[in-house]
Amino acid sequence: MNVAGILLALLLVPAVLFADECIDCHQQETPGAVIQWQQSGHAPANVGCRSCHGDDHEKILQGNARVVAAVCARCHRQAFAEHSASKHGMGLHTGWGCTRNLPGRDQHECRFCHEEGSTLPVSAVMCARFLRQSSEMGQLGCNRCHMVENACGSCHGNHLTDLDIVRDPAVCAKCHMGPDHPQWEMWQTSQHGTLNRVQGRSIGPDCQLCHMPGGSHNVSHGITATPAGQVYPEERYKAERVKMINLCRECHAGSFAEEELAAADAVRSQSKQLVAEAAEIISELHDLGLLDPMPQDRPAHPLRRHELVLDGQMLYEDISHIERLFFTMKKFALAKTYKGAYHQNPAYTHWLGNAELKMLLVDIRSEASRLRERGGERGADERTLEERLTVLQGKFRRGLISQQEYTELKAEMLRKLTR
Amino acid sequence: MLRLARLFAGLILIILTCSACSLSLPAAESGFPAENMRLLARISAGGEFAIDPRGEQVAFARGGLRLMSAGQDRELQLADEIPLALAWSADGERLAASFGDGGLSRLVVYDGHGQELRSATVEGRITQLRWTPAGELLALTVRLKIFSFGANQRALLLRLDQRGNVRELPLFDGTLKLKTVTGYGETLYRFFRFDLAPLGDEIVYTRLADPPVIRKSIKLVHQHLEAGAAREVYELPLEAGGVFWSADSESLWLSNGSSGTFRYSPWRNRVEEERPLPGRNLAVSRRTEMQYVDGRLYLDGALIATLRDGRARFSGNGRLLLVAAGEQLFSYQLPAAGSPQPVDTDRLGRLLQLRQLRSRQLLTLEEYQQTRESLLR
Repeated sequence: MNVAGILLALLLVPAVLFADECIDCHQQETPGAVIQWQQSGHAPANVGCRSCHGDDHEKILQGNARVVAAVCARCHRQAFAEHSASKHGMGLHTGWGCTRNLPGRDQHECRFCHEEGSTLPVSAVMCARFLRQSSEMGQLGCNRCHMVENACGSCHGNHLTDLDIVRDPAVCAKCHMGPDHPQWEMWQTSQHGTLNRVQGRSIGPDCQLCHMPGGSHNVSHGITATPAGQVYPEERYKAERVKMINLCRECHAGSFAEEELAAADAVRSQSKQLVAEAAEIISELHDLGLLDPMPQDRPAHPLRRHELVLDGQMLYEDISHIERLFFTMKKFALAKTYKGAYHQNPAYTHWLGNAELKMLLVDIRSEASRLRERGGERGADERTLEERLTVLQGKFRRGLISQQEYTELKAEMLRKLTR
Repeated sequence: MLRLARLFAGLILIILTCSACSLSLPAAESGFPAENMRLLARISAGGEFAIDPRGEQVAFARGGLRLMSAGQDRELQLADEIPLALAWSADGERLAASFGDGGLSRLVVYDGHGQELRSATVEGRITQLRWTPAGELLALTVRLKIFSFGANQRALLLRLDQRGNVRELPLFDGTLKLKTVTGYGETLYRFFRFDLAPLGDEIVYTRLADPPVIRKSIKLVHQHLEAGAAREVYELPLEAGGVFWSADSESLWLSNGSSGTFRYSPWRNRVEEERPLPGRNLAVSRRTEMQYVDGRLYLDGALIATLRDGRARFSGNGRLLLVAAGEQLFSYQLPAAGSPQPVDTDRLGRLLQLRQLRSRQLLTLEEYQQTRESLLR
């Protein structure tokens, strides 16, 4: 035994001694938890209750001694480092909202997102949709998935260490299902999923095999875009693609894998074009004041106040009908289309994804016509100076006119004001 | 410069002509003609006062609310309560006053003769009042709700039109530490101040920032009343003296309360002009480029007289200055200094439109400046 091993053993001895003290009561109070611990790898390794929970029973009762990822990281350093570098390692940052109403919130957290003395959040990564929820919904509907950043038990279970649990794709399904990113359903009904079910994971690859190869805790293996679908810069994109193709080559010809994934890339890019077209329609309606209701006439967005928000901070409530159609298009249909393509599921790629995407664009165009007609949209010459400048600025911001054209057109409009 | 030279000549002439006159005041002033200053009235210590835009009537606190003619000594008692805030309308025909009553405020509007026209009860404390040139009454209302862990402080600008309709413009909604609430008590309210641009379309206000660890400060926020978002434009220490719009509605006069008073552009975020005075008592004329800073009177950047040091207000026409020092209210008849060229209604409408476009961030500052100059040429 090396020196580190001896030191570790010495450190763990008191923990085990204290563990017995806890167990006397907890065999009565929470027998299930005790059984789970006894069957885990922690018990024979002498990692007792106090090793993770501490010895302040009052603090534990108040819910202030949770076993967060940093506690596990004391021993599982590599796993924690891999986890932190992955998309799971940013689960809270991408989805975390105000913790004001959450049980067990830490008051010091306020300063992560708020300017001192203000209730207005300032962080760019705050989840607006979370902020709209009740504390109960925030806890059960949002944080039960996004807590993965800071809670190893989110996948492993709280007192268990059985790797069969985390090697079962169903453990991913808790979050990776449903309308926004149904990777589990896509995989399950794909050829890979069927082979996995019938022949086992040595023949049919599963979530862990492709995205966590070799038992890595970096779940982002081979993924080439951010959670919001923004493709990585070229260098990173290429590196991740090579990683995935190397995995595919265990069963497929490399050229086949490259072509398949390139086709999925094309589907992603084409689908995003459709979404961009819809966003342009809505932005123009907004610039003309034709959304119903306009952002200034509805409850303020928790982060962007009365801006039109069509990006990742878009809400699905307190918006106009055409925006609601857009939300479904972007958040659900777009994700199904291209994620279906990457997960080799034709039904998702086409009928549940692409077809929905295009039909929603039809709905959006139609709703836009209705709003224009109802708003009695005036010709460009009849609009007020402010309306004309707003439309012009929108076109410039969305890259439809150059800086020079924008400046010249604006100068012409302003000259009329001084005549 | 020519204007300044004329003013100096005028002042010297007045001093020479009246050198035989006996001063009615102790010689706390210098460089100001004695016959143009007088002890106007006794006032409650720290009490509010306001002079009508024509410089003819003064409303002030003494054992309630009193109204007197600046030229005569006749006084009228309008209310038995001490007013929290006072403001005359731009035409001098109406006087608004607020009175405190626990967590509620009573807002009263009087006519020019002191007759009550209307009144309303409002939740919170109305700490400041302003009238827009169009006759809308703005009331800064601060609400404080104390909890075991601290207090929620909410500031609203109530906008009351001439028909009695009320709109609310939320300015701030935040938390104060319990220690801050107990430590500052009633003085907490003084951290919220606002001023309306002379053109009547934009406001600037101060609010207390009370962070858990770093030191408190006062944030300065600029906002167009109809367009665009509120923008934090500056941060001041707690002892700051006040904030006022300059006569052209383009910049702000601020003081840090300890070493400097300066004119600041909220759009360019830069200091345009500085005075080496703490500015604990600061007042700015809305018609002329005249400022009162800790007892010093400046015109076009030059010191023209030293007066009593106290809380000061200029009349709307820029011809009278009132200074409250202790329990005394002094009046100073000011020389006729040049005022900005009046703008006709049509050009004024277009200027306001231009300012609104700027607030909506549809123009660059250069585009705004060029168009403004063309418009006012």
